[in-house]
Amino acid sequence: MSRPPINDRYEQFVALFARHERAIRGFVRSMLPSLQDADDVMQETGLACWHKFSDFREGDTPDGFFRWACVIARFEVRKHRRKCARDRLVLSEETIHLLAIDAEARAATAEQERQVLEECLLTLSPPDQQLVLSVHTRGSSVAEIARQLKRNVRRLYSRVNALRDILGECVRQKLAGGGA
Amino acid sequence: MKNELADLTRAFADGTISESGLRQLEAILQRDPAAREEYLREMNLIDALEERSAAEQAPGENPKATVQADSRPFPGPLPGLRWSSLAVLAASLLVLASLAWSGPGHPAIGTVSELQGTVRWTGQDGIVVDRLATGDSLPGGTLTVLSADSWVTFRFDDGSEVTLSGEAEAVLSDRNQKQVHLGKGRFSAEIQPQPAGFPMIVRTPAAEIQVLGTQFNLTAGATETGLAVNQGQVRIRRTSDGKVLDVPAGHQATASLDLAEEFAVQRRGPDLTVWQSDLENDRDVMHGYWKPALYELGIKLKQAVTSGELSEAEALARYKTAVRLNNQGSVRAKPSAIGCLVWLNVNAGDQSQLLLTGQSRIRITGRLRDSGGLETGISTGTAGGGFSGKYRCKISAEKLNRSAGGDFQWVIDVADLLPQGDGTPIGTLAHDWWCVADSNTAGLEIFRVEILEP
Repeated sequence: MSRPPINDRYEQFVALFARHERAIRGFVRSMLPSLQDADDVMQETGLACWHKFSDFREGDTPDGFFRWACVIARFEVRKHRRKCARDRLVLSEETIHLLAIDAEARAATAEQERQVLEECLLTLSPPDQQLVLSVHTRGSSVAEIARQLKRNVRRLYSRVNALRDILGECVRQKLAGGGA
Repeated sequence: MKNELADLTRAFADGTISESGLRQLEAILQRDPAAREEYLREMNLIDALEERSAAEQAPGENPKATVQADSRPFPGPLPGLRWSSLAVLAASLLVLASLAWSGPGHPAIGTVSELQGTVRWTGQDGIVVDRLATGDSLPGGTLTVLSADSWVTFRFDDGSEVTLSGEAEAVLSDRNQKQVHLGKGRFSAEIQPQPAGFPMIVRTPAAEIQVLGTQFNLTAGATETGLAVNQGQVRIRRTSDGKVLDVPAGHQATASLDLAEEFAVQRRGPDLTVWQSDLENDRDVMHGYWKPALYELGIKLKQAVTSGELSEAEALARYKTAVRLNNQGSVRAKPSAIGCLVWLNVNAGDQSQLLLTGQSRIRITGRLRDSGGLETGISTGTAGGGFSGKYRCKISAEKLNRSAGGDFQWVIDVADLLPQGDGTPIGTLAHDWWCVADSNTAGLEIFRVEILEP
């Protein structure tokens, strides 16, 4: 099967972006009110990173690309925020600025939390796992799921938050070395 | 305080936060670094759960999976809204595809199974790829065949194949249902049986076609769409009035935006082996423009009358004399991607097709102002109805043997036409014919094209 010749620069970019995508996405999501917003901003960020990739200089630090991409992502978040601030409830620019600094600094911790979360999910019963994943599915919501299951929204929301508490605590304990 | 922050964070992430709640959350985050740490930890877990959920949903990108999901204790996501986190990354990266679009992208819906000439693919994000190759996997997008001597065959993942023969443009998609928007050009399709309730839909400017599994050919223009069915049955709806016809194998129909044109199922007649161009018929001229022989003379005579060189009576007399001598017109070539081009539909009659045999010859009568060479070619379909190939032949200026005025007659044995890939034109059905001069200013005119047998 013949392919178009692969540009080295492109390959380098794809490799770097793929390696850090999860962290960049976490950074972006922390400042935006929905999964869809994060999708939109990630798409714009990917494009902007590529367009500016000729400016990127790989430094000594392994997370150089992540930090460079975060600068671009932060700009894209602010751009997105301005676009939807009129009719949506979004964080202020000042809050976003503060969160961006902190989020960038805790990228390594965030990755550890994500890895540990996988183990913690397994401590839940299968129906609880499905419930907690269902409400985090694109296009879904607790209200929608409650309607489909013919259950009370408030009670279901409480149940979901209880499961989030369990998972959060489990992650905290595992990272503190205390198991769960 | 801690519970309050968690509640506000979750409400923000779930999209249920109130205006006052958001103000409260902002106030907490702005004054307390520890709160920001808690907030970011919670948002990170939520993002990880969203990612995990998307990963679980990724294999279920089809209706069957959705049905299964409905039977689980907790429902799946809303149909059509599933995008994994990686897909979003892919959507971003796809935009970079002008260099190497074979990396992560929108899900591929099929592969390029055959290709000749200049073919362009435009992805959903507007990225253009001009260097397609056989075997390339493609997501949904627009395939454009940029020149008369080019074509591409695209094989959907279920084995259904469509061929676009240039110049042509079609938008292809397959999100649970195959859909093609054929803007223009010749389109041949061999479609595997489609799921019940999800026929393949082909839309053209003049018609909509529903296909459950069959072989058919379409020719789409700005105002008219011709359909020829070779296997199975195809339903065609005329866009202008919604009238529907079911066209069975061995039959054809033409849908026009002009309601005065007949819209009926016609049985195809026996194949013919001779053909002569009908250049005045604008249906048959796909590239080039018809000019009556007396067009220029008429202009000159009008100018002479205006300037007083001739009286109206003298001008009319000269015109009548010219009409008696020459009532023939020509199709003038127009510039194209491959040079100065005349391109004709080979229409062997309303209900017949033109079969090329081992004895078939093409006779081209024309005029070429420049002293360059020419290339001619023919696109053909198989007797079973699918696309066969394009075959062509070149002639040098010396061999063309033009008269002092540039007139020429070029006769080619069909057996001497060379395939762009494999195969032979003998035994195939002629679809269209073209003639092209290298230079876009070559001044090529075609008076007549014939396909003859001895």
